[in-house]
Amino acid sequence: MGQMREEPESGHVAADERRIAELLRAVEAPAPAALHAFTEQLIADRQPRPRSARLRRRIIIVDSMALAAAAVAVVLGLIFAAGNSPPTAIRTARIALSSARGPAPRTLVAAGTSITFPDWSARGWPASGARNDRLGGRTVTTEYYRAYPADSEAIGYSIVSGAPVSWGESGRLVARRHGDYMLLASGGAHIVAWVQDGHTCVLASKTASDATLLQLAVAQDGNPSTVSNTWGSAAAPPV
Amino acid sequence: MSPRLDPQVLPRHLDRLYRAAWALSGSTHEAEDLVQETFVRVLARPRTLRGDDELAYLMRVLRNTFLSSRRTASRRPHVTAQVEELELADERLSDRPEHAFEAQELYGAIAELPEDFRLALVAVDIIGLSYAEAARLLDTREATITTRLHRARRRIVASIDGPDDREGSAAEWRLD
Repeated sequence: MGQMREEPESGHVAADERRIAELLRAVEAPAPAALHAFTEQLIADRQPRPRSARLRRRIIIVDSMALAAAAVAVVLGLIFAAGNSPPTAIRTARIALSSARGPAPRTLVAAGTSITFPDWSARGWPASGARNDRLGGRTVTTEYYRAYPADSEAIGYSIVSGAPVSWGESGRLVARRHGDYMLLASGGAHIVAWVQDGHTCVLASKTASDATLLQLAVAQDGNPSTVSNTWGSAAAPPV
Repeated sequence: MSPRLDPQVLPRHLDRLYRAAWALSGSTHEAEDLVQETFVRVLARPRTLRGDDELAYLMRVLRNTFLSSRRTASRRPHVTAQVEELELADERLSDRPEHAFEAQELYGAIAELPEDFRLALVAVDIIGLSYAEAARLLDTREATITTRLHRARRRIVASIDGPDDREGSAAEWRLD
């Protein structure tokens, strides 16, 4: 049985082409401001650093002006666009320390990444819930784990889509076999952050210790070799 | 000597790539993630442009990023739930609810097209590639692109405006 070989009439084809163009024009949708900001930052991070003293002097002058402009931009940004400011590990940790908004799926892949959240039930930390958030133009996917049998302890594990984010606070860098991990603290909570497959991962808890979080982060059930430190690369977040 | 992609051109193509990603995925949030991932990949190591112009190259990386994200998702058969699947209307368009609805309806309709049709329509009508460039991008013949485009446009117009009674509109056109 052959396929039908009737060709569309050229008038109809042209009409459809015009109509599609009209529809696309009518709903002209620019990229969000946060995506523009992300792109500008990404390009800026890739610029080569100046080396000569003469160049450095020039840069200092320009940097001073840029710094002043940046300060104004930061203030204006804080006032007008707090919701669009870039995410940091600390801001991400606030989500990890919040509550789940739904049940945990059997398997959950973080949005915008290919990272699957680990199953830590054999380690006494079964998954208890999950949520998705938008933070500065990124998607933050979070899975929550609750200690078994004593369910008073809880851990949130958030993964941020896109390139690694900055830490937001200085912390303590701990080297382990599969890479380096940043230990942070905020509001009495313990936070461990690292970069896996080019994405920032954050474990946070108000009750579990640094050691427990680090142990779970390093374990990364299923595929420990995927943990890779990229601090030294151009994509590395500032500490 | 072939030129390398200049990172400074990325902002110039951002809006178009975002719309392309939205049409591919049907989700504004996924579109943002796709474009971010595309740019990270493009800048991760110096790439040389081979004949294609920069827009065709960026579209190629976007398509590959999209397809690999879909493959990754499809390899995970045990996902029984997705968190908050409801797509919220674009906040920037919230003061123009009709506009936001129409945009979501249009891009959603494109995202529901079969993959071959969708890619052809995105490459030509949204990114603005020529039929020849789209054919190279999608590794097929120009005649096939023409056919896929006709069928994709017909389906979208019918989906938005409703089916018409034009002669032969229901006929299956030849698809290579």
